[in-house]
Amino acid sequence: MALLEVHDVVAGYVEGIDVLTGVSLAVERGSITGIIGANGAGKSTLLKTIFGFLHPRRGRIVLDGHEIQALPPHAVKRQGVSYVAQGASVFPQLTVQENLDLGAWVFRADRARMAAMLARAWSAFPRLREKRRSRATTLSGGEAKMLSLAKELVTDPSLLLVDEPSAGLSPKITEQVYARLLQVRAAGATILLVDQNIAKAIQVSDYLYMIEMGRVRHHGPRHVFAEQARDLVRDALLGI
Amino acid sequence: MMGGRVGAPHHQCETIPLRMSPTFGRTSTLLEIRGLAKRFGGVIAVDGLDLSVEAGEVRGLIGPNGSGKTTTINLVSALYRPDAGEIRLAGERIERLHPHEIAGRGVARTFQISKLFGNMTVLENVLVPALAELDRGARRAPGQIRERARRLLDLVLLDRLRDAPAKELSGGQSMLLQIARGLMLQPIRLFLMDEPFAGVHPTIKDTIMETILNANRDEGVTFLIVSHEMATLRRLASRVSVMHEGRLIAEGSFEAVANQPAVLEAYLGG
Repeated sequence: MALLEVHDVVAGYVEGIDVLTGVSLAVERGSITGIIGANGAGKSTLLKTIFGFLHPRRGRIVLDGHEIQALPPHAVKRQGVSYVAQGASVFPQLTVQENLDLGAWVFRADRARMAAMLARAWSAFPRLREKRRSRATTLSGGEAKMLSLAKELVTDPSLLLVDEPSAGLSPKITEQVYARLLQVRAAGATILLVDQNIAKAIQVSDYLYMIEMGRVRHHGPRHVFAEQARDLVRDALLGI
Repeated sequence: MMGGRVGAPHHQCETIPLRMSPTFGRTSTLLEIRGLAKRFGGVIAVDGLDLSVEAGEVRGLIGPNGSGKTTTINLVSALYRPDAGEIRLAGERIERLHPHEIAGRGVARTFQISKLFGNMTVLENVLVPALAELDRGARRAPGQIRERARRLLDLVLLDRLRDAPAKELSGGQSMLLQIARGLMLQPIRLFLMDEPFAGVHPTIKDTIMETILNANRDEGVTFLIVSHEMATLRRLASRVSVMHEGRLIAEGSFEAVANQPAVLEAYLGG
């Protein structure tokens, strides 16, 4: 059984406008699954719906055999899901350490667990450890991105939802972010990745879905996508 | 589609002798951009762009995210000052003008994030360009202004909401109002649109498309439309310009550009 299954999900922000129009997909355990598609296709909305920011108007979202589509984000987080938003999603006026504390907030009752989580984060992100007493607002763009990633990894999620990891970052930082994602996968986590850089998504993903107008247009393993990528882009450009 | 509304003649509308404009000169190029450049800190958003749009055309402007499309629209509408390059409207250099001077030359635009006057009514929003024209010394009879405003609101199906505050409109209705407000400019020569179909209900999409086609056919308005919705854009524009990393990398029919390796590589990223 796949770790995450999305069945025929319809969702949107405004009454009468569906952004997701019946999307179905499966994310296998231990894989990186890539979602590609044009602007406005519904990629980010899909992640937000899985994480509980939006509730589907129709359809089911099943995590490890349990339906989660009615849960709010904090409850989805407790189920072992983390969501890394686009850009740097940090609390700018708080210190690096406070940001990480908040990342582990849902587990605050378990002090020993929180301490262990933080210790792991510091060893994984030594640069953040050096700056742990600095306010997040003083970080560079790349450091802030690493902090938002660390903040979501601190809880050791089984499923990591990542939205556009390279948006607005320099190529060097982008490479570091992808390298980190590959490490996270190697450590056993499952990743659902939204990326508008099709070539990069194909490079790092095991399986890909192309979304168009809120539903899956194509899907397949990496090597099939790599062969068909140009045809898919051509069709998308022609609106067919 | 909107049935009988498409192609309904608007005899009462003032005709604008666009093609006879004295500033028009020997060429029919309405917008001509040469070597345009704009940087924000270390990011070069537009990097030596050359782009020409013929009078009376509906042109699509596409490209991967971050390719400089919106910055180009913002440069032409004078929201930004270019770091280098020329922008000509019907032969006249306009790149050092202010936004209201650009508007005064018949260039309208829409914004992806609605920029309406939220506490003013729908009708008042549409009247703003006419007030600005009167302020610039234009001679237009109040009756004529009201008639055009009413007709435009009718065209975009917002007439019944004319007394509602603009902030109460949906995203799609706000886009329709932005378009009606732009068409209120007299004369209106060039309409720049930034993602007019993004997040808009399908029926409103149809209304936007018809409004564009109407204005283009009946009043000769030239359109430059940034959109990621290829199927929709293809129904409006016969030619499309493709930007990547701040430059023009291809131009032509959708079929022609979709078969160019440089375009495919740009969309694939790397």
